[in-house]
Amino acid sequence: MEAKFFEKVSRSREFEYDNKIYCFYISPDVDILEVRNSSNEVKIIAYEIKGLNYLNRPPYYAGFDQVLAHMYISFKIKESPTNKTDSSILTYNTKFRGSIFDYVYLVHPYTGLEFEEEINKEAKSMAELMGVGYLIINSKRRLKELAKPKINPNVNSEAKQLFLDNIDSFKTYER
Amino acid sequence: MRGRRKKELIKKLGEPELEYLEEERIRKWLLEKLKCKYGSKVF
Repeated sequence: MEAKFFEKVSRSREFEYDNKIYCFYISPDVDILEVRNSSNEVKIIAYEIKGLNYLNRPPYYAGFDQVLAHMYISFKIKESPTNKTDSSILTYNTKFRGSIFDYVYLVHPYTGLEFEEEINKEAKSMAELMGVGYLIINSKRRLKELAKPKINPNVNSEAKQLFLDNIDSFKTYER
Repeated sequence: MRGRRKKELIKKLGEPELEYLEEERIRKWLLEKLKCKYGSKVF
């Protein structure tokens, strides 16, 4: 089993496709992107992380907008201008509707001392409803999976293959 | 979570402990955990 990890993934380097030069735009960005190769089956997993902000806990619904976007559409490709002064050619190509992520996780901080206390039931229920995985982490750096992710029904296999074929264009994000 | 609740939390867990739960630190930590634990059950 092999895996690659990428951090804070947004825009890729340019790559060639269909005799043109493109780049990927991933928006919203992906906090951790995992590409897992297991038994010749490649799975792509996105992790959206919400932490404390100035020691304030995020609301239970924090990050659900991003995970929904990751499940709906993962990236756009943008044709690069052959003439750098001509910005009019920078139009989004909407050919790839659909997601490349087989699974999406949301990660929240948990401020209780023990996981048995004060579990964020609302977020867990929302995650189950949406089919996303839900992880909580406490200040002792213990992790618990409260909801298991379901396979994303909105994966576009062509888009996923294009991403995998050009994964080196994200080299700067690899960790 | 502001005011009194925030103070109670800082008193309960301590400010340095809570700082572990900032987004960037969670991300860095989770990334390393995923990399290190890979191949076995992660969670």
